[in-house]
Amino acid sequence: MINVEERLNPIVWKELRQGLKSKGFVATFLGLQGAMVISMLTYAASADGDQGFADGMFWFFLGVMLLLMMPLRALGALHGEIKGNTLDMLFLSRMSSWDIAFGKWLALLVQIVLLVCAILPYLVVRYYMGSVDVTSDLVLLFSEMVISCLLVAIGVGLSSWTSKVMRGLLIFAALSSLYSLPFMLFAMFDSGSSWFRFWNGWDVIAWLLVLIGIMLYFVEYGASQIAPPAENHAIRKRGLGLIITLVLIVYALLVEQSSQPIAIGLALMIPIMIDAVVEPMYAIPTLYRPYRKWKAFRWLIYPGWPGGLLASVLIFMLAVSVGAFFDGTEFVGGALVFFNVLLVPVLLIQIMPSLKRKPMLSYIAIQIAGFMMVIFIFIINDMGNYSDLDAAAAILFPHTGIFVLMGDGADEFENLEILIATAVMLIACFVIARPIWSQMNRLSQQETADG
Amino acid sequence: MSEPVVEVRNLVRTFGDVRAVDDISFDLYQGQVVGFVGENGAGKTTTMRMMVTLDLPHEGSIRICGYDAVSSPNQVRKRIGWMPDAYGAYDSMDVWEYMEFFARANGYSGKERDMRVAEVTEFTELAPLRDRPVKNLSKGQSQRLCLARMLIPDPEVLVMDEPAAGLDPKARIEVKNLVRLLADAGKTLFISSHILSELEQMCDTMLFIRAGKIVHHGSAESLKQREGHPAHVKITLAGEANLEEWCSLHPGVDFVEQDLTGVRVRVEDAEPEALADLLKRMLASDLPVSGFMREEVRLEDAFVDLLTSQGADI
Repeated sequence: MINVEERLNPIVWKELRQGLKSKGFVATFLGLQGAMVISMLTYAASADGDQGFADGMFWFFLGVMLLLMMPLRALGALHGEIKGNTLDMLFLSRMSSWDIAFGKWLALLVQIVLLVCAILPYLVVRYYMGSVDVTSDLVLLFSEMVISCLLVAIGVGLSSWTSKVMRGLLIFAALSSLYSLPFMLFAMFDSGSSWFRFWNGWDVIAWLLVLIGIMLYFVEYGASQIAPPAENHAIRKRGLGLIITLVLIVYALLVEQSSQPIAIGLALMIPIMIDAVVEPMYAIPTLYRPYRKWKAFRWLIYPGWPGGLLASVLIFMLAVSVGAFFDGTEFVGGALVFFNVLLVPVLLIQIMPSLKRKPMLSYIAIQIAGFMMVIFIFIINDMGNYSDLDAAAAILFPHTGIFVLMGDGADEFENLEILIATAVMLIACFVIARPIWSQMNRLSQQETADG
Repeated sequence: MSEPVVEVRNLVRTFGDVRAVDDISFDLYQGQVVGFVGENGAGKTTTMRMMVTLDLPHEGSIRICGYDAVSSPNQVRKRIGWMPDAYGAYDSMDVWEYMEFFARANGYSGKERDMRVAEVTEFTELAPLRDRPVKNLSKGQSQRLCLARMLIPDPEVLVMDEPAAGLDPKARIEVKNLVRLLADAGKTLFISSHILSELEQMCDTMLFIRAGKIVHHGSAESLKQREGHPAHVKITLAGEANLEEWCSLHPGVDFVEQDLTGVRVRVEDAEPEALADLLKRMLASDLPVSGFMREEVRLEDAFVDLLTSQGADI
């Protein structure tokens, strides 16, 4: 018989021992029980009348626990180890950074399952109180669980950020979602069951695969952030990005037969691409040695921003070619504007050495500044509609293009001009990257010569 | 002599423009206890972190038990233990849970794990504290816990950064005894510390580092007997006199310290004739000298002299 406890990832074992005793989990668990009791009393009080309010309360309380409290707890996952000065000791055991990050995520998933199991009796009581669509309830419960797992994975990944500003922004963003949570849950509850009935098995499989890919990506991101510099995490992250793109391409071509999944896919790729293009460079033999035999292709999987940029270009080209297959040049113009917006900070970071110290922070700051500038121009020119923005300006200042897309749409763009802007930025990036690649080539040749 | 267990060659690590570790090389052998001494910021911790694969050298190589620390970090990690100067413990765990977690993390399972944890807690005398929460341990007990954690995978090389820092005398003796026991068991220990008198008692040999460079490698005795060593003289005075001012007016004589028993001075020229001349000059200056005795060189003084001779501002 398999002894599950012996086979557990040591971090899961530790986290469950610590996590289930922690004040955070106990408070969440007891809070949920209290909320469920209140929700049941509300049901009982409205047994003969409209139970909409009681339904709303039930899903809202569950939503707060699964979609807010658990992701907030995830934000402390890796940060706790970093702040507690315990990572070095973990690395000197047989655990890898992936084992640590994955173990943290898995432990939180177990806690989500425990919370859901704890509300199942209330779900049954609701059924006996009448007018409950069991299928709809189960679909909603499953959806909330999946979204919770995704948010927790994002939380674990971003919990590796040590900057107080960034952590503050994350917590602020999470708490701000509390405002929109009732509306989101109401929309899900109101249209959920009918919406899901339009889905076939392939839809569910495709989107579940995509969501699992994104979850694994964020866990891997967290692992890469805490890992010693000699570990190569770029190949897994870029590989996951490519797999997600390929799943969406197959889904778009064979099931959906439209460019919609590709557009959503490109939006989902934003964090993966940003991470790839701000990766630091280390000229360490262990990082590139395993890929030397891949010849020219090795530059695509070698860690560091130039390889990340190449991988992003590949993912982008794959997605855009399928998008263009359905929607023609209109899709290409919009996608190019989007890609140029991603590229601008890469170029600025590589040109200005002071920005290289904290590339992710610099990248986000540049993007925020770019969009703020466009909004500012929009306000001071007293423009009433986004369509007033000149599409031509998107060539010089790509952030403008996003607002043009929100206004009149992509048909405003001159694709060739936008493509030239993309090419110029890419060439500039690769010119900057050339000395780094040459250095790696030299080291690689030297290593080969040394045997 | 047998093959070295640790081989460090031309190691360089820079932080921006600063060469924190600047072309250092040394070997450590099985069963040796080696002290690693240097001022704050001399490059001790950086060197140690590179040895235990937590940082990467910019140049040079480190081999632990024949494995390269850069290209085979996992092999090295199986053979090396690391005790950082500051480490975090999981406060909500008790001692046994903490040890069990690290035994799991090191791949032990079932009865083998329980036996290993029992063995290590017994060795570090933590067995009576097995149910005590980690947060309730004293500083000395915490250090022993860290040592126990490090010993779980039975590493061949132990790297310890300031293991005795902040410990009371009893706890320091315990650490010292454990170090000797480990060396007798064939482990190689590489220990950094500021408490030189203790290192002198524990270590077979010492490495002195300054501004990222090794300035002396040998036994404590060899440092004390270094050529051109200044002499240290203990002077007792029968009455009031400002010996510090007197020293400042006489080149080659440095005031070191004053305590209840007298004044210590450093004399550049350690020849007996020069010391006799110094005493004459003091008496000629009407200093009430009632005692004048050359002291045996202490390791701390030898180290300071070494740094001074290298141009350090002490």
